[in-house]
Amino acid sequence: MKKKTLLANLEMSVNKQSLQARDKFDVADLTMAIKRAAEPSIGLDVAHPEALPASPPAAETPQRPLKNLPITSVRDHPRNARHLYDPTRIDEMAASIARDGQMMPAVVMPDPELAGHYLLIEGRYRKRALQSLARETILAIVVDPMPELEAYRLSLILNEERNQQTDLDNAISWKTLQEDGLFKSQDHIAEYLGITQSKVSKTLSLLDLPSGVIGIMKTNPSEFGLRVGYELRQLARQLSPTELELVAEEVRDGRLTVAALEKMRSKANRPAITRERSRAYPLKLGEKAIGMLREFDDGRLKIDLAGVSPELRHSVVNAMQKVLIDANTESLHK
Amino acid sequence: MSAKIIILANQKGGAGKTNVAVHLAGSCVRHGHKTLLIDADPQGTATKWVSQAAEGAPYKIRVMGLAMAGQKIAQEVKQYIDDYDLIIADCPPAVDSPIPQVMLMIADLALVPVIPNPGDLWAATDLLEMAERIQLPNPGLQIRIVASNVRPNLSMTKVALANMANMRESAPLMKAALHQRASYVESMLAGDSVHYFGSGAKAAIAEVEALYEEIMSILKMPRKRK
Repeated sequence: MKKKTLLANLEMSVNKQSLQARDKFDVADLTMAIKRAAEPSIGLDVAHPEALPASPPAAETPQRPLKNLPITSVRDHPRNARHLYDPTRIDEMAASIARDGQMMPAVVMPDPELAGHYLLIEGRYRKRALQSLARETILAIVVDPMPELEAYRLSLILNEERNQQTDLDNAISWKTLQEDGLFKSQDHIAEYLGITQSKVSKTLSLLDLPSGVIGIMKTNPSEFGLRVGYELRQLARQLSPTELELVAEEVRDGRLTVAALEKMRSKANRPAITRERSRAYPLKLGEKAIGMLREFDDGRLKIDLAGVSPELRHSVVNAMQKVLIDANTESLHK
Repeated sequence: MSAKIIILANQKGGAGKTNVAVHLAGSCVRHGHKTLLIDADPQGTATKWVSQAAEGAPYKIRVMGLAMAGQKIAQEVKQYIDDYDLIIADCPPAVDSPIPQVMLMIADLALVPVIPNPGDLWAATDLLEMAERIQLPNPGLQIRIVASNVRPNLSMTKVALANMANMRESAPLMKAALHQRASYVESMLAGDSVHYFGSGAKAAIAEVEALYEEIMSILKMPRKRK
């Protein structure tokens, strides 16, 4: 009897394993999507396709033809026929495309049955969004399934350590995808990648460092993990930007460890570091949350809005400028 | 007509890839198909196996080692596509090499041998997922699970086989199965499939032939008489 129960567990464990495999490959796909987004030749510069042919990629990366294809020549892959589409997601993507253009190319392969036509491998929501905007073309990377394979999918991903993305790589690509509207929030990233929201926020905050420091980090990103990032952010409050860059260079060259940074921070003979004080004001348009206003004790004010129409953006900017002009006139009068 | 490509793939070693590959090749050769066995596993077991055959043996299996071609293996294989009816490739474990992925891209049929026990079922999930995803760029790819090294009359075997039958819609379990038999192991030293033993290995030959028949109908290939 006991054995029978044990044997009955097999099905559950195999199902669980299958789901894990699915997740693993979904993450793999996402990693590849992120890689593509991060590649300047097919990522963000896509908004300026005329600039594309000018920069041939390095010799070992296969040339991927990026084309503006008539949307009618691109049909869904038969294997995806049963897929259901979330209309709000289509709308959101359409709004983003209307605003910024199609930031991420779709991925298509030549249709083996119909010359001059293509099968959509990736970008079903983009295609539907474009159709809802009555656009006639879709920007797509045409992959030849054969040689494209290694670039397109996973070959390295089963061996994760061979393909380790640095935290900075992740930060840059998540931010890009967030800006493209593919990720709606940090929670969305966390959920999709199966990691904690705090890891996502720590990763993204690497990009809060001064741009000079980020420039240095990019030359050797593997030295700059999340803990180093945290220490540098703390030090940023005590050191001048130039000093901080010198520290970052030491880290880059492997001369400073996390522990050393920690020591440096506590040694620095400055007033005790207090936690950054900030107040947050959620911003709503009617019932819909559209962003956040944050006020910091060190004098910064951050406004962060998403999904805002051009008109509203314009009037927010105008209002802000008016407030500043008024404040300035007032101070002159005093 | 260009050759149909059958690949043997699994995530882990020891699931019976080489055994199925060599036996399928042995059966196809005997049925008069022009058959090429490709040894894509750097361990070279299929090559060593086949090369044990005595010189001038009838139904010699033709083998070619392409493990070192790495991910360029597809373009190597494609060179032979017009010269054969069937190309059977024994792939290395998927974790070690890009070869299974590349071969999945050009294959007509992926056979995934699985021993009916929990460890082997768990280990097959990654490959099955990968193969299913590759059906996207390679819509002609069919996937089948083959029960391998089966020990009959165990309750585990029954439960595991039932599971394998329902594991994935995209990868049905083949009716034909290869059981654990001494003749399979012994045939390695003969450099041939179990057919070599004739009436000494009737049961083994029968199941290999059943596998051949089933594969011919999956690939919609005309069966040939022996």
